[in-house]
Amino acid sequence: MSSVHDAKRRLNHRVIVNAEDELKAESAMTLFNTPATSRHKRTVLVIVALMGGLFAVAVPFAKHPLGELEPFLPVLQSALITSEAVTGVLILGQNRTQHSLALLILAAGYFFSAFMAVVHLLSSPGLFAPAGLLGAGAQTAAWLYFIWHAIFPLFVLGYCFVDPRDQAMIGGDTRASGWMAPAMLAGVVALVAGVTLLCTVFEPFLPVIMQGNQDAPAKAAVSHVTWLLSVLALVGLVWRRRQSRLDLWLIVIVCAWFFDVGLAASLNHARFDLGWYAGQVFGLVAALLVLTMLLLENSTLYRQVLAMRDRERCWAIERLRDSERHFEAIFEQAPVGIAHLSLEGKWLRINARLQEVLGGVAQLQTWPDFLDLLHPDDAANGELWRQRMLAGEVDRETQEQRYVRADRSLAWLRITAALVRDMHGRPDYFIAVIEDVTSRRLAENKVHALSREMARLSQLQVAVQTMAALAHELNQPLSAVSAAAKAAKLMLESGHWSTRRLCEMVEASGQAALRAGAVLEDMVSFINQGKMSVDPLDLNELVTTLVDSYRHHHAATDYAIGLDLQAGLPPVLANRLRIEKVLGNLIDNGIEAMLDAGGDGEVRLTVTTRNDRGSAQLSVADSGSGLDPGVVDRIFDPFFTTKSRGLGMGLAVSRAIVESHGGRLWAESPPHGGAVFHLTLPFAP
Amino acid sequence: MSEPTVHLIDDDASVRKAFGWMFEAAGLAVRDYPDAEAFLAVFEPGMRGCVVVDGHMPGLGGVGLLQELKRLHNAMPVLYLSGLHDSESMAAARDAGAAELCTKPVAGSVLLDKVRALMAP
Repeated sequence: MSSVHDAKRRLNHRVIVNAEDELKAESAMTLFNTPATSRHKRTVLVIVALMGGLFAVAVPFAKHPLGELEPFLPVLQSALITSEAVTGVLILGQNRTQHSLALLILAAGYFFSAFMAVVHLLSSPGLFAPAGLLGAGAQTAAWLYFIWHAIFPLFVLGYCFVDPRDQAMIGGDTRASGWMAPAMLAGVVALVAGVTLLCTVFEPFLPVIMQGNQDAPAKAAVSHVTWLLSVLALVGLVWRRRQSRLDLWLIVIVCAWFFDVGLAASLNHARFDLGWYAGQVFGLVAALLVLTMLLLENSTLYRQVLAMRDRERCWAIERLRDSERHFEAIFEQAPVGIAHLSLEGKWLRINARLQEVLGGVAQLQTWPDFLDLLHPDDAANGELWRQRMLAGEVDRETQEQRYVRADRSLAWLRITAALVRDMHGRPDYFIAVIEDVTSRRLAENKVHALSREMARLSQLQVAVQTMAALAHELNQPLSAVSAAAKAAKLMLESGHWSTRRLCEMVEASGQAALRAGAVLEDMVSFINQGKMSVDPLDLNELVTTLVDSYRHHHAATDYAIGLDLQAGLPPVLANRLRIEKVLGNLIDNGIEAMLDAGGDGEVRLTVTTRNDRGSAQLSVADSGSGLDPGVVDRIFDPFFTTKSRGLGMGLAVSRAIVESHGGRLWAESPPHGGAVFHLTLPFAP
Repeated sequence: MSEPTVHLIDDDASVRKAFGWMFEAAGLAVRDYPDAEAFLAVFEPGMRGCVVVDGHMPGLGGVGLLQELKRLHNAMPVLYLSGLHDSESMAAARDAGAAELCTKPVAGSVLLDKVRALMAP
């Protein structure tokens, strides 16, 4: 297994390395910027040496006259024109992909050369006319020749001095540089026309360099300057760093140019001597050689491009296969079920895990549709889901649905489905990731059942607590009733009884029975809270009446109740009996708190009424020990009590009553001591 | 040596009063206390009679009092009164040395019989 992986990794590695090579090759894919190898340099050196040898051989015989061969110049010049023009076109073609100013300059040089050759040919004496066409004078052809051969090296120098790397792109924008080639051609034509004009119309003003077919003395200076320019161009090319193949062939051309000018113009002394013929041939052969080599190079490069395209295709195929293998591995070995479903919900493909989840599948084709396997209640939902995805309302969706296994047992599946579209954006198929979450669902159900049971138990617990509290509160008075009755019976039986004592016993017994009744009443009012009738009620009158009855019944007690009632308080909307009960409860609480505290100071309870922002506020303040901060929040809870006696329902019931009137009941413990209970009630409309 | 007395400890005044009348009418000497602390303040090991204590009281409580009396070498039998559904405190009271247990509400005659039995020499 690991060796397979290694092999694949090596393969990937190789593919990547190849790709990098090819990327490098791609950025250096033209003659212009393909770096010259040492093999190329050797070839060029051999050619230059060969030309140099021929040149050296020809030099001693340069001035040997050979006689005029009439068809020579037209044939040779025609070939040269064609060659130069084709080379120019070739370089211009390179420029179309390169957008290089250097290449444009070079192409201009070649077109210049071709046009000049045309003009030179036409003006040469004795070819088309005895003195040459274009109104040529005696010096025209010679001057054209020298200007032609002097300016071409200047173009080469221009090419050399424009750095090929920095200037390789003229903006890189085809549109921006599109005008440059026509402009260049126009410039070249203008230049050639100017030169022609100079050498024809202004010919009489030019120095005399030819006397018939013989050289005039001034010719030496002109030809040497021309020659020197060739040398400069050569130096420029050789000087250049990182020569391209094109540079190498330009070296050949400029060398040939050098030998050409040397033989045909500098070292000879007349037309039609050996130097003149050899020079002309030199120039043509070199031009053709370079053209041929350029064409060959071009075809080589083209072959490389084709090979690279093939390699790239292979690489792409390999990558595709690789990604398919990866996908295959993911699909088959994923720990979740994966399925491809047709747009109608038919199974297209499933992985091994899904077979496990759904139960063994023998034949995918004979299997029921996806939706038919779902629980009937969920199938409709699944269909809706399919429609929504097809309509493009949702891209993907996750749902938990029930699935009926082959053995009719129910499984819970968590299904995430997504619609896969083809390259045109049309729905292609569904991909569904399916997990079996049955055990999790069962656990969740168990948790739900347990929490329901918990809730039931805690309700039961409340009921048990309620019962225990009730039982205690009833047991006490009931035991007292029974004991008092027994005491009375014993007293009567003994025969020594006092009426006063007996009355006390019966009275106590009755009180205890009433107390038991009050406990039950508390309970009932808590349970029945909310059902009552309300009437407009004068709160001040209610407080006064209630406090009077306290004063009447507890005349001899050791506490005082003070009133601070706001006159003209509007009536509130309330149930009199219930508010009386609440107020009684608050007063009882206050009194008990103060007596429990047993303080030395004044034991005084104050009841206050106020009109407070649209509702009546009633406060009961005591001078007891106040409320424990930890208790303030809990005193209104049912069964909460700090007292030894009582159900702990009083404040809970009171708050429920006040709130059922649309008011509020709360407590606070002011810093100067005691506790204050406030309640609000809405005014009658 | 003081005469045998029923020491009645209950935080509910009405219960103390009624039970007291009953024991007195039955010819027993009675002293009552509102809580365990009040009884312990006057307790002496030489006291005679019996103790009737309510289990549900603030402060030390019924069981706490039983444990304290044991520590103080009390010789008097203790009758522990408990509420219904209060098996836990009853077991605790038994462990703490209660001689008799009784659940409330208790019929006066039943309570009287039990106290008489405990007072019998």
